[in-house]
Amino acid sequence: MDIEVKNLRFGYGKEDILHDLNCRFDNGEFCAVIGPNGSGKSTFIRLLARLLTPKEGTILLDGKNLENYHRRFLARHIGYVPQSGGNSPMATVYDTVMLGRKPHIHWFPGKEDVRKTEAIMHDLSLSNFAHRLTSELSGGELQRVQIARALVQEPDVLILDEPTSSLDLKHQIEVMNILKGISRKNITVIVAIHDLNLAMRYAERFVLLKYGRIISMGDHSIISEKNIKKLYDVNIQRVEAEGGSYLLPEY
Amino acid sequence: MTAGKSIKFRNQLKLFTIRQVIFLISLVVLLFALLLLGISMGSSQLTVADVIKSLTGGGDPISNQVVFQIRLPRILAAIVTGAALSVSGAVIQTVIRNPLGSPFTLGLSAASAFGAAFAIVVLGAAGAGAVSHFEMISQMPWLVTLSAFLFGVLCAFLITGFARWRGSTPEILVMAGIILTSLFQSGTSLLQYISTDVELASVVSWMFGDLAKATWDKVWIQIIVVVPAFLFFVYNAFSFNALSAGDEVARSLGVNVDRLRLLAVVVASLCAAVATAFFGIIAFVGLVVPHVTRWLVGHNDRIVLISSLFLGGVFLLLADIISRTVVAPVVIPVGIVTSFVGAPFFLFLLIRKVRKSR
Repeated sequence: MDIEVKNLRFGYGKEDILHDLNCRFDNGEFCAVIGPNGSGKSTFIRLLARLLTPKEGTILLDGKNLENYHRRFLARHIGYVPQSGGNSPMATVYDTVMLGRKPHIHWFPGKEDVRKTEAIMHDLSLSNFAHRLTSELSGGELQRVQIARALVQEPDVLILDEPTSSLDLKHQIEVMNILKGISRKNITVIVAIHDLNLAMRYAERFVLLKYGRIISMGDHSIISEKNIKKLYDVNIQRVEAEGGSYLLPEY
Repeated sequence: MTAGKSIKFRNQLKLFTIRQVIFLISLVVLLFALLLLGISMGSSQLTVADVIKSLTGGGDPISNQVVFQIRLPRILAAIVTGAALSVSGAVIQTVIRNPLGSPFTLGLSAASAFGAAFAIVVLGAAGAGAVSHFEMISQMPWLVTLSAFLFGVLCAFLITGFARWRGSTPEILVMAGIILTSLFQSGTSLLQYISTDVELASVVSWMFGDLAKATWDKVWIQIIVVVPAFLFFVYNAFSFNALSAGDEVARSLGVNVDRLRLLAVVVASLCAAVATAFFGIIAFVGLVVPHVTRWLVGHNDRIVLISSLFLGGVFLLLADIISRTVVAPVVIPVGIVTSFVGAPFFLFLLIRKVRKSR
């Protein structure tokens, strides 16, 4: 599904956090939303997930305003993984993943719901601790559970708020590989992310946000020394090497 | 994952469900056994066989009279009230994400007590001329019940008003509950201060949760309220699970979080308000039973709600049997028995918490 953002404004009270945003996310793209703390990344992706309502402007999902969709329909098409929390500590892994079937279930889960939950848990290597409590999991395992829960929704768009921020290097790579695999299945993946090298490595398109405004968007070429300086006020060097580009900050 | 592991995983899931089913069946059997035992106990001694005979239509007229007119309404009232308070507690603990939540946390008992006191002291509905609190209770008219119920409902709507005004977050709901409890308690104290001796005794008697007030009418009214409320809760059990994962996740799963939270609080309060208006304050059932249920069957709201329903019935029925036998022939109000359970229960929770944190 395509998402188109038109003249989007959002704020609390009189103060605006996001100003006149315009951008587009195409079907099956892996997009990274990048920007310093307080730039409005999380707010922006929450608006895309319809967790917040725009003050002005529209977000179109396949040409139709998000606000005109029924919430259950949207939940069948957009999955969201928050930065932290998002699980009951006393719930089992299986029950947490099964929650993703909520938009498809009325009274009780059916065979199809159980089958799909088991399949995704298998794909993300979660089957072995199906009955462990989520409070007993490591950060990497918990992030996989959250992604599995969102995937069980069978979304066309998966939105994640800093999915690697609390993970060690190994688990950062593991989660990004999972997300890359998801985007290859024609699911649009939109992540708000701080790690520029990780974003460069995995994402295809980038939206650069500062003070609630998009300063640039496009492919890898926009992650330039000039744009990063503008974004973070930090000098970096972009090094082209075998396997991709790397950003080295000047300390 | 290998095929062997996949089979093991499926078997684990099956076992888990089978365990829950066995637990539920055991609860139903226990409930039925306690029902028979409860009916057989009392001043007019009946054997369990007599009770079964009466229930199946083969009893003698005296036994039938005792079973159907005296014992059964009380026993059924215990089961339905226990179930209503437990399920309400389970729902409120989930939607306000507070393990100390119960219908009474939201000010309901204080509001109902004020309603009863208001009817007795201001509207003059006290059992005038009564010489014992049993007599006083029997003289209390429906006006007291109605007033207690209406104030319970008013409390639920005030909570709703607070939530609409400041947002229906768990914190706002708990704060609103504290405000309303304080307000209604001070109102009740004032009414008690200005009341006559008989009125004061009536108010205090009302506050002891007592199933001696049970009649068939009350049982039927409770069933009419509790059954649809329970179906509403079970239908939304999956949404309650989603709420436990946080408002943001619940919204992303298509749950109308604010509406569900408010509706759940209002429906749970209604169930508890009916029980409280009929029988007075029966404390701790709505708090203890959901905890014990989660401890036994885990935190999935579907199974927690269904188990709480039966375990609540078992708990209050057992408390009622104790209240009728512990100092027989004197029957103490069941609310006193359930309150006694509160202290050791919290001690148990404290010990568990300390053990876990070590």
